[in-house]
Amino acid sequence: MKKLFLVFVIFAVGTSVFCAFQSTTIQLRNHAAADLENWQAQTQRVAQMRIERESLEEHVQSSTRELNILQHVAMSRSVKDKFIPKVGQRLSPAEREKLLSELGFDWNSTGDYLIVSKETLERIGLDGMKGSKLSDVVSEVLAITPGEQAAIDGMTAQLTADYKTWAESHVHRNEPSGDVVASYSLPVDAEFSQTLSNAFVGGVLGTLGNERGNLLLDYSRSWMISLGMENFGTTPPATMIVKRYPNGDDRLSLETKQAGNTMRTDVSPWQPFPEAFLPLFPGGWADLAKREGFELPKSFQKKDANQS
Amino acid sequence: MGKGMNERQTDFELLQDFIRRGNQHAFAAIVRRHLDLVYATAFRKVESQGAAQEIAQNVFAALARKAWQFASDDSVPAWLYRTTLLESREWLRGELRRRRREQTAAELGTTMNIPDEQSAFRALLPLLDEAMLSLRERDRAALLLRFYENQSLRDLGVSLGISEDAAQKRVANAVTKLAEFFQRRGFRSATATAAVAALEHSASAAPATVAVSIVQTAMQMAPPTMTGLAGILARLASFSKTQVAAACVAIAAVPVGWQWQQHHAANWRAKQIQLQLAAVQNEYSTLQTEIERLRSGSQKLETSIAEINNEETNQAKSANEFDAWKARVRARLMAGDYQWPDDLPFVRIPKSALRQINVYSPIHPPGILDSTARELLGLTPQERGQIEDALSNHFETVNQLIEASAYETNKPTHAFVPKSAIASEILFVPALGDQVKASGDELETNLRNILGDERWPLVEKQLETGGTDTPRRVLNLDAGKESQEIALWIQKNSEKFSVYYGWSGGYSSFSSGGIALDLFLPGAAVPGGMDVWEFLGSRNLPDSLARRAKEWIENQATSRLGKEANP
Repeated sequence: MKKLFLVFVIFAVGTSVFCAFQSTTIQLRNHAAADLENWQAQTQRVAQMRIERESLEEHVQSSTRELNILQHVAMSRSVKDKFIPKVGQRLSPAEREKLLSELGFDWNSTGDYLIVSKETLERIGLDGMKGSKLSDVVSEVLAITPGEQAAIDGMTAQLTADYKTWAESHVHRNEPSGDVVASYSLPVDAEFSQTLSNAFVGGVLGTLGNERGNLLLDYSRSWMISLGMENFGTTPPATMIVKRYPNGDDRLSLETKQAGNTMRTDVSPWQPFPEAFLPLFPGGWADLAKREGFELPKSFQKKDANQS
Repeated sequence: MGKGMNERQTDFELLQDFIRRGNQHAFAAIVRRHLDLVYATAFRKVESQGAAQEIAQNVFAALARKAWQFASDDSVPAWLYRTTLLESREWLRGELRRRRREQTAAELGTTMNIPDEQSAFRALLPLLDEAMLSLRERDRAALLLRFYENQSLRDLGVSLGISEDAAQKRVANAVTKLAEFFQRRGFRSATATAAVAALEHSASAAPATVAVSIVQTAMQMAPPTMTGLAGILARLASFSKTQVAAACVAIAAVPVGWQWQQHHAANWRAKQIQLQLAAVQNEYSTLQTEIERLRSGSQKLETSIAEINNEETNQAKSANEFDAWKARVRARLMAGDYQWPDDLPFVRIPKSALRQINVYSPIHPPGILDSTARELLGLTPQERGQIEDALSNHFETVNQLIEASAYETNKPTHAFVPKSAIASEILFVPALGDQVKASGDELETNLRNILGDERWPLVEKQLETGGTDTPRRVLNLDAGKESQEIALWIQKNSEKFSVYYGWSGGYSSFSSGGIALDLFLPGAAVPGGMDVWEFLGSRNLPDSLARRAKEWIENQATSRLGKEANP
């Protein structure tokens, strides 16, 4: 009995252990099977992701190459500087020069002409008026048509005539005395000057437009000043005094005051006659000398001889 | 020892021999060996030779039947003793019933008389078997072998697998326990000696003929020889408890071990899969991150490419438009019936008009050609570079000569310093000699070579013209033969300091208006952000003179007005 009990106990324990192992083994296998299934699913996903990653890497590499090429090409083209300026746009010196270079304009490429920027025309000086007419050079530079020139010349002739009429009626002559051989002055007439200025500015802008009109007004500033079209009523009267040099020197000196500026120089054939008084003496120095009865310096004779 | 060992082994071996091969001699040997024990025990209980013989036959018959149940560690004498007692008790019960039926009161009287004739140890005999059964089996076996089978202590030790001394001690202990049993049952005078005497007295030898009849009877009642499965079972039954336990453990260990191995394998497999799963999950997350990064990068690249392509398209469009615009501009500016282009940034002027055009300040130190002059000369970038290099060389030469020659003086030669000046500085530069002329000539030669015959006269005219702001004065072309001088002075007007300067050289001179001295203090706030040093720079003074003039003005500002600008 004892042996049987012993056998029973041993086999019972063995069976329990066996069952316990079997149970845990089954559980482990179930877990393992689930994990395996999960692993297989994950592995498939990973495989797909690897393919996707490789595809993406290739795509990124090819895109990078493409981008580098495009950037290189874009940089090499440097179309940044190739811009079309808008109408009326102010250009810097560098921009102007780049555009001129792009256009292929330089001294040797344009024959008898030169292509310059409008900004450059604003910064140069030239005589806009010669007497009471537009100067040839301003007509050429501003491409003034014959019709426009006729209109402006007609207007300036009228203004000059008006000024002459006004000057003749308002000029003050001082009798020569001592070294002074001629002395004239014109009073300040703000209203007349304003009228004259308005007529000239309006006529020029109306005929040539703002762009060329303003350039012409700039180029004609000294002419306008000479006709009193500047600083209306705020400046002293215009004066012109011609003096003889002392000690028998045949030279004459000129002192003019106009628009607040004083100028002293010698009277010479190359010295322009003061514009303010030109309508009164259309022949310039010769007319003044004849009127006042003094002799011009010998340099005038030499010039006449050279010209003849 | 050999004998004892043989005998001890023989009990079990003899039984095995008897069971497996039906060897009656083997069984007879067992009977002969233990018959006295069985017979003596039975006789002591039943007090009848015939009954004792019958009981002995029954006991050995039972041994023959149950021989296959014996294990190697079972004690045959102990088993025989127990069985004999049981058989004796059974016989006594049957005998008692029979006697009652036959009214054998006389026998009872005989029995009653016996105690009177018994010695002291005889009183212990009725309790002897109960006392023997109270002992542990090994003690009981020791006493049976010692007293009923008359084994020597040496043989006893061999039979029990112990030493002779240990056998002696065991016998002594068993006897002592037997005596104690008797004492507990009221026999106060029961000693070990009495117990031994009881044992010796109760032992008696069986008649010689009994053994033969017992063997024959046992053989008749013995089961057939066990072979095959029965033999195996018999063999198994003959195992000791330890052997049985070991066998069962071994048998149970196989499936358990197999299952454990399965469990171990499953566990290992599960761990491997978990490791693989963890690895793949790790890779999954790494890949996910990487893919997201790549997607993001790819998206950015695609956006950039799209932008560039878009830009490219726009630029191509712009380039086409630009080309068309250039063609249009060229056509209009070079047309025979040219008209003023209101919508273009460029115009056309005849080259013949250039002689009548004045350019203000076309050249600046240290060698810059004004943009107006550059356009009016139609310079290419290369020509511009060459001209500005030539100008720089000339300016540098003249500047070095001025730097080396200029000195301070307190007596102006050309310049006018008013008496109201509270401080003045006059820098005089004497005529610099032929080096200036040589530099000027080199400059003119270079300019002529760069510009060519058509443009050179335009510049030549400018270089020949005297005056305060003409290129001739700015280039200091007359500095070789004419001295020059710059005078600076400070005047105090209405409690404020103002600085003035005047320059003169040859027939040219110019002077400045006053500028508040505090504007020249370091960090001074200048209204409108104007550059106060245009005060000097606008007149294109030689660099060395301008620098020294600047230093003097700064020193005056600092010394008179302090280091900080006035608030």
